[in-house]
Amino acid sequence: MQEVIELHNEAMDLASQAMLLNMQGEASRAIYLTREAFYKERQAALMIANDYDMEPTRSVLYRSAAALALECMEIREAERLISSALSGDPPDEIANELRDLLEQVYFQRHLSLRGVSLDSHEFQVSLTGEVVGFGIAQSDEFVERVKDIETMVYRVAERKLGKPFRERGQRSKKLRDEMELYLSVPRASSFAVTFRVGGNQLSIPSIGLAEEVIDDIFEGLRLFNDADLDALQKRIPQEAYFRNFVGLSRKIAPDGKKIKTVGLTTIRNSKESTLVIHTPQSNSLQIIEKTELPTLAVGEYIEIIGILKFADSRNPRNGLIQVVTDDRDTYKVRVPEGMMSDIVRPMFEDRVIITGYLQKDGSINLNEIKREESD
Amino acid sequence: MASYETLLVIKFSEMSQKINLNDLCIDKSDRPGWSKVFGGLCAEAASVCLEKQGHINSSTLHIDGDYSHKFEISWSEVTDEMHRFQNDDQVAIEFGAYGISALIIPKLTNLTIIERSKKGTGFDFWLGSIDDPAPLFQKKARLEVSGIGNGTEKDIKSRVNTKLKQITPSDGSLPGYVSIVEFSAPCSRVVKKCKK
Repeated sequence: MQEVIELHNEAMDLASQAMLLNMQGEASRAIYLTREAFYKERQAALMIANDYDMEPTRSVLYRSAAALALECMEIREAERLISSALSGDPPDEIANELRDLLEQVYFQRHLSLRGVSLDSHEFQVSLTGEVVGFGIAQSDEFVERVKDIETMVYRVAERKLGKPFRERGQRSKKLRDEMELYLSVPRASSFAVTFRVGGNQLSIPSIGLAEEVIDDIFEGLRLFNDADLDALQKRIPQEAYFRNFVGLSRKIAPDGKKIKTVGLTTIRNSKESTLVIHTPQSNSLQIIEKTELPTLAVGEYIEIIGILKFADSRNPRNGLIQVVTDDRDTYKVRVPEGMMSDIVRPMFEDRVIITGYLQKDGSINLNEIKREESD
Repeated sequence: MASYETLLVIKFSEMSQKINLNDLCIDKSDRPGWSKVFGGLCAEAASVCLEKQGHINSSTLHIDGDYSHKFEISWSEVTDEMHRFQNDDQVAIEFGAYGISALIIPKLTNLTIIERSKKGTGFDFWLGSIDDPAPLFQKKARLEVSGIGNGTEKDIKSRVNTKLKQITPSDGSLPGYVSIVEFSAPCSRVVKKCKK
């Protein structure tokens, strides 16, 4: 047992040093140490592989080794270690954590393209969660995200082409033709589909507008994921476009229950590039929830729940909606540019949660709107 | 009239003990689950998080939940280099919470961090008595730690609930503690799991 303890302690020290190196920006050395930690922790676990009575020692060592394997992308090895741990008799709590880890392993597999080839103007979106089965997903959760991704593609394209934010009216026909979004048949992994931007690509004016749009979306979502709103705003300096991007990202992000993970994969320089969007429970999204978007952030910060009854977008810089609460109080809510058409309007007649700043005249300057989850 | 026991509890909770984050960087025989490297990383992260919330060099850390207590917490000057190094807020908050929990939990529970294991991208910790020779992770209480940079009472409550909900109470549940550290107050909510 002493040897197991020594190997485990060495593994944990190496894992700590790897974290330290990661923070110093030395990613390749960090991966090297994580791999060393993984080898030692796996060795420790294998030394008590047949000691099924030794719980929780056995399952915790296996879980720890599997977590390290996943960190250095030894996906198959992580799967094997988790399976070995579950084949024993782990305490319920550790068994649940092993299953969570296994979900991450499977999601990594789904992110990987597994024989599906992607062109540079295509990307894959994978979903997992309670409403996602093997090749099947609840239509609402899937269709809404498809619509939001489509909207994001067009908005980013319009921004890239230097167009002012379009609060009303249709997308231009030329842009529709150039950037039209195509969807593949879903694949039975978690639930994975390929999006193709721009059909046959014959009419794209300059090389790679579609690629540019996809790269911009990936980088923007990466910054959103890291809650690095300063960097995101530098990347999208136009307020309306920035607000719109954050609003759409919030809608695409998983709710943590029905949809647990949303992952995107693309191919760049012949390599898979993946991005997993965090759940709202993660720190980063909590930071984003609290971040004041560039609205008129003056007055008391309040939250109201009610039915979205009225939307008036005649003033493009300051649309107006009305929300009727259960007490039949009616609130006028001012919607800043960038949010009315893509974020607010799809929720018309729905029960919504509004957060914003209460003004002296009783109206609210909108910060965030989301649908209330029904029981 | 209050019993002696109650009076002692009240008196203990009113007392303020001193803790110093620099202690985490010292090898201590009663903290075998820590290496100096890990301790230094956590101490630095906690100092940076506290300073980011406007506390300079020392503050009073309030404990609530299943314990009521307060600690005078102090730390060395935070340099620009430390700020640069700890520039990922999420990571700093997580590691800062590890550091503070490692200092307060032994004082609240008389158990010390004996072991740690890898869990997801972070660690969980195992508490035990230093004199108990039980094998790795056995007969130990588990400590799950989480940090919040600047949060409300609602945020802390929700984080505790999330941590507790991850465990469905059953005979297979492991005994242990949840420690949520909030850096703006600063405060820590320490809750016992599996109170059966």
